[in-house]
Amino acid sequence: MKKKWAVLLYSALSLSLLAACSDSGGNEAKQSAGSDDSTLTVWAWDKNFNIPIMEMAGEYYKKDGHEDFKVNVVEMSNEDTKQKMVSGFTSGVSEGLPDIVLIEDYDTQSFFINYEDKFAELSNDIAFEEFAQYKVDAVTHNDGVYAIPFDSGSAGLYYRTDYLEEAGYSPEDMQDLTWSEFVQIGKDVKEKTGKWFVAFIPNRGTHYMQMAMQSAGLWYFDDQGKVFFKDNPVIREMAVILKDIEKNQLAKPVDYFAAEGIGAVTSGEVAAVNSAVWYSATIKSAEDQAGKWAYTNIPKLETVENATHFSNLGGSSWAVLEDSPNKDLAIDFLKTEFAGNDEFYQEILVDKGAVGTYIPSQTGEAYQYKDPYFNDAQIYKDFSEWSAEIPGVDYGVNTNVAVDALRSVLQDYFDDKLTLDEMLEQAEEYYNMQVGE
Amino acid sequence: MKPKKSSGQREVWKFIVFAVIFGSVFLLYPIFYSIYISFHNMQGIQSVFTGFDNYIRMFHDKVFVKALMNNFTYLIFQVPIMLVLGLLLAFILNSPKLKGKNFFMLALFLPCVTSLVSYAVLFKMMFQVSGIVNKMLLTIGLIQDPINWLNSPFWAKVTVIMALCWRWTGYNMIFYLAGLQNISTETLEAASIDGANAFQKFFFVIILQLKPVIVFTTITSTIGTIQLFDEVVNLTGGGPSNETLTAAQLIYNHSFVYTSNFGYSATLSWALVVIIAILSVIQLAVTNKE
Repeated sequence: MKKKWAVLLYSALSLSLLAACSDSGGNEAKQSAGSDDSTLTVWAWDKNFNIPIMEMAGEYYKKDGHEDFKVNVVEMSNEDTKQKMVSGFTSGVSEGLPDIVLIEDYDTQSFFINYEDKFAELSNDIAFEEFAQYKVDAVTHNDGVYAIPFDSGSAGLYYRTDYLEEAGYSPEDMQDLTWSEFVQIGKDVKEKTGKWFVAFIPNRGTHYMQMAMQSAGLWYFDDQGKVFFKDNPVIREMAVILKDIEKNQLAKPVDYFAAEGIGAVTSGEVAAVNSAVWYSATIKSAEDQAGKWAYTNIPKLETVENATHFSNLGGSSWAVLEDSPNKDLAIDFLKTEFAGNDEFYQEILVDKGAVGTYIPSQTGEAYQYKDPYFNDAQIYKDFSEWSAEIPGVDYGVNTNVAVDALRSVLQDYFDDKLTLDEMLEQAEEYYNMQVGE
Repeated sequence: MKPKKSSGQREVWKFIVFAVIFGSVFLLYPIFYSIYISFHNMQGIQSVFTGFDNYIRMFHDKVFVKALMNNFTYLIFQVPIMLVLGLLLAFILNSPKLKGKNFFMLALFLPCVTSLVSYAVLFKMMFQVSGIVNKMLLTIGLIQDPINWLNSPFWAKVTVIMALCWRWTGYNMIFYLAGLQNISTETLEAASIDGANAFQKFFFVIILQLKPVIVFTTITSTIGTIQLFDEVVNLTGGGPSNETLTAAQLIYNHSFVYTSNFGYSATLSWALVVIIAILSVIQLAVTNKE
């Protein structure tokens, strides 16, 4: 009998041990997500950009009369942020999550639709008409606005003036190009200078498709949210352009935003880059190339109605979690600094090259800055003026599936295993299979 | 009358109880829960019971089939190459005449203690169009034009296979080496007296006695290859045209890249479990028969 009790005691002990484990885990998690009511935990990536900017905002808020205020920014890659949020939300846990999180604009709809009620609705607290409309569109769901637009992904074409000159092109020739003219210039550059024209893997070149689509106000989906590949005039035109780039080996085939892609640009192997304004920081990191770079607006589509020279690439927004114990403080903090502090925006522009999408800040003095790196061009003024022209699009919940669907067929199209129609049909099939339709 | 349990049995239970509780919470519960969610279609936190829909969908999913085929391609080419190479290296290292044995052993074993991500990144750098591998091949005149290792459907697979061999050959070699050291020299001497040559000794004496080790390495390598993830994600991201995509990467995509459909991910995971179980049973059956 005694032994039976011993067994029972043993099992009770082990169970309580288990309970203790989970308990201490909970406490620890609570600590990370703001253990007191004046500390905010923020998840963000990029320690040269988003993280110091958030910390700077915290300093400003402290100076604005919140002496105890502290912002605890946890560095986490974009992928990790998504993974941890998804795991937290789906397991029904609200502890251990941050108060504020940075979300890339392509993912915002997916988060706000799939995890409704997990993010705080902000339209009562913040005057969203003061932000660039296309950014507000990206964070709006069911008439509610769920994040504060932050940096602009306003896109342009950067190019090396010395290489282009060697190929026989002046800065005037680079103005208002079409995509086919862009490719033609690339062929000349390659022939005359032997340099790569751009750096990205053409079969993964969906960021080109996306820049081109947004420049015409289109996306991977139609008005009903159905996949829109086969009859999408932008994808049809850009597929041919990408194939031309691949066939003529104009692109150094390296991951565009990985170390090797950035290295190809900063080491002078590449003559041109189509990217957003935040990419200027990367270009400027090659100090020996000062004065050799210029920029203009991105090439335009030829066959698509309403096509413009203005588009967006990347960019992100700050969201507040609904279950955060410090929700009100988080909203007030974001409202005070990111939706109201001109001085803060001027400082992050000069310090970090961050073009915000808060319109009142764009008349500030810092935006008139003439950048000696780009031969005294007013790069921030230009890119922010362009951002006002960018057509808004609905990124939907399945952008990532659409990207993979296209990537899964592009190489076969380049290799002439598929015609353009077959390729787009297969991509649609892939998409439908992956979303389970 | 029921026979009374011996006190020894009770003592044993005391040891087992803790493991049983721990196992049920952390092992059995996740297993049963994954079966449960595989009958649901999920989009974020919205979960709907759909019966066998996920399983039916899986059988029509061409991408999953393609990913599985890629897994099998790796299995068919990489596992035999790696195991034969491991065996040969172990055989050479086991030779008493070899000098600097420790150095070679360390050099061959080092890859499998390297971080998965860092070695994949290193391979990615080496196999770029203007990377060191192409430069070397061009210098010695083996190729005329640089090979686009990571972006051509054929060469991307070759690169993944090479990376896997580099990392895992040394690991299997250690098992063979341990096995070889257990083979008594008497059996080899007996074979010599019977007039067996080196090849005969290798195939009919050594290999036969190494059989349990070979079965073990084959099964673990098979399981590893079916579950392959890190190398492919870091080297090629599954491209070009899904030519290097593996089933595990597809499961990851459905969980974290697409719309977080954990239900469908669980279904695909169970398919992998069944495939691995079948392959392991076949391998065991084949080797036990002889």
